[in-house]
Amino acid sequence: MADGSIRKGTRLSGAAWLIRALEEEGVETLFGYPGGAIMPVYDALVGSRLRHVLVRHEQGAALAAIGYARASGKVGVCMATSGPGATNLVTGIADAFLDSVPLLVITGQVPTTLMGTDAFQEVDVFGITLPIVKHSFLVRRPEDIVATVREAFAIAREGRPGPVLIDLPKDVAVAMVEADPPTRIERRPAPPSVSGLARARALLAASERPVIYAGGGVGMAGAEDALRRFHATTRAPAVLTLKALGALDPDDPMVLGMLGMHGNQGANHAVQEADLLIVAGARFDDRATGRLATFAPKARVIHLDADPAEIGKLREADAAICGDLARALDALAQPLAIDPWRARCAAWRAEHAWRYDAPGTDVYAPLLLKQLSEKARARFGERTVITCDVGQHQMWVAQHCRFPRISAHLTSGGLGTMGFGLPAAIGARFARPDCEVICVSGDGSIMMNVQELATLHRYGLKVKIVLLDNSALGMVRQWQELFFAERYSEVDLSDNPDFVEVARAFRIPAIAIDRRDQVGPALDALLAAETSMLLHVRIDPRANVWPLVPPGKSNGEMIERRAA
Amino acid sequence: MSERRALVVRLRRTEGALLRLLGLVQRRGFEIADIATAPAEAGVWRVRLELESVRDPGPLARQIEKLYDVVAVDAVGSGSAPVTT
Repeated sequence: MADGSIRKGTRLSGAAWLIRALEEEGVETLFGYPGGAIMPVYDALVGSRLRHVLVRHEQGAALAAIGYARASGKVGVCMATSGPGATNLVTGIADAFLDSVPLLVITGQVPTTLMGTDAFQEVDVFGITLPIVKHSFLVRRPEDIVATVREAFAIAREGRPGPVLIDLPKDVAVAMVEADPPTRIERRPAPPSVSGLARARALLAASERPVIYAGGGVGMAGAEDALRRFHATTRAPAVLTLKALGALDPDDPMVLGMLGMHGNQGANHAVQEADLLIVAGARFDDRATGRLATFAPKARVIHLDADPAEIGKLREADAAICGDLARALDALAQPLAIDPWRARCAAWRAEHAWRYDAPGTDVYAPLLLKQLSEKARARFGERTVITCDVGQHQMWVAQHCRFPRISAHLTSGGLGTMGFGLPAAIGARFARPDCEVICVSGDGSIMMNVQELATLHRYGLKVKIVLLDNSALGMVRQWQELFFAERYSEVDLSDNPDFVEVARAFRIPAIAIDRRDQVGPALDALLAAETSMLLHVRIDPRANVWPLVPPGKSNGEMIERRAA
Repeated sequence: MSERRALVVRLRRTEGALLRLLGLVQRRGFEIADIATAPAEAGVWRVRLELESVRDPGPLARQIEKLYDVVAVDAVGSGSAPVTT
């Protein structure tokens, strides 16, 4: 770049160096909200070629940056001021930490001379976020800013990605300095290499009932194509975690769908009967495994992961391969003679295929989401990104929508952040302007970041919102019904606002439906709209997500829909 | 049954490094029974931790190794006897 390059001898403010360093890292878009301590940075933004997206709450900035990162594969960037600005980012930082999203978080801080004096809008965000960052920096010398930014990007991206915080005191931001040349301070040591390949190949060759258990790490490692090659060569039955949906074609008879608490019974049967699990970029999360001691009880384990700390954390590995997932999968692939096992798995798959023949004229959410996914595919091909919030609708999206790739499904997996869907959709819209972006939300979740409807309007973004409204905190209500003897506690949302009026107040067009025969035309209108639009869908408040593994139970003890 | 083990970590002397190490150890389910720090080479601390937990210290050592400021996890002792390094 011509005028923005960082040359020795140039004298700029710390804040201006920060902006230059972001430009040098290739940042195009960042999400944020100004305030006192970060004002020098916002001043330096004027005239920069960075596109800053002004959200309406800092949590929206962090979650939008996560949506941007997950849809694009780049590092997401967000920033806020000190104190409440910084604390409002915390949920987003935790979300990025638990879902291993590369995120750079920049916070303003009170001047170093005031730090530790309980100054106005002073909080120790460095301390608050220590458990939920991959790393963090408190920049005390302006001449360190450029190198710190470069280092932060490298840390956020490399190995298992994650959030990195840079806390920038105001006096450091305004000081005029020459920057040091931006060399990287020090490279992280390579993770210890565990040479398990030969052992893994032997285990695979000897297996009669292997199952591929793939997780979101497949996407982060850029190993989706390698996983598809591995699956095509081995033709081993495969199950996917919530965050791996999209990695394999759900119509393939050897893809059994999502495993775990709200997964497909066929997938859980296969895992429980397997004699070998090939675990690729997955971490034995409790929502996937059910009661860990009874998970895949007959299986040996080949564990492939970028993060050596995941090996043996929850389940011992019989063979472990750390490092490049794609290369490991390619090296491991071999044809397998397991026809009887394939036939058993195909039978489970057929027996437990989703059904959409629910009686009644109410809107049936699983069918609506299947239709949404099919109509979007017919209209836009593979250029669709679906984000969602957290709760019943999140599980229905996972069960009944299909995704052409992992980055087409943005869901808050690890943290389970209600309020994720709308800001994530905003981030995805900026990251992938070539894609249609659909946000599926619930009446509980949408209210967590409803203010971001204003961001849709401000930037003229096209995001299609499907709001499934059961007048309740549905997933909590479902658990109270099933596991707390129908003692309903604080889950009634029947006094919800009129969501159509809410959307219109933010100048977002909206329509409402409450009958099954209205679904097709309403989805067509939604997908055809040239602007953002909200479709409010009233659904049966008694509808539950099926099947499910009760808490603390084995995946072999899934329960199906109760008789009405 | 809780076991007592010793872990020696060489840690770059940067802002927050010690807090980060101790916080990680506690969050992962290990109680810090004793701690001693001493300067090692320039800019590096040698931190010796006596830990009590029912959990396997193997994954903990790998989680500590991932911390950006950690140079090395030098030794893992086991049992209740003091470990000298």
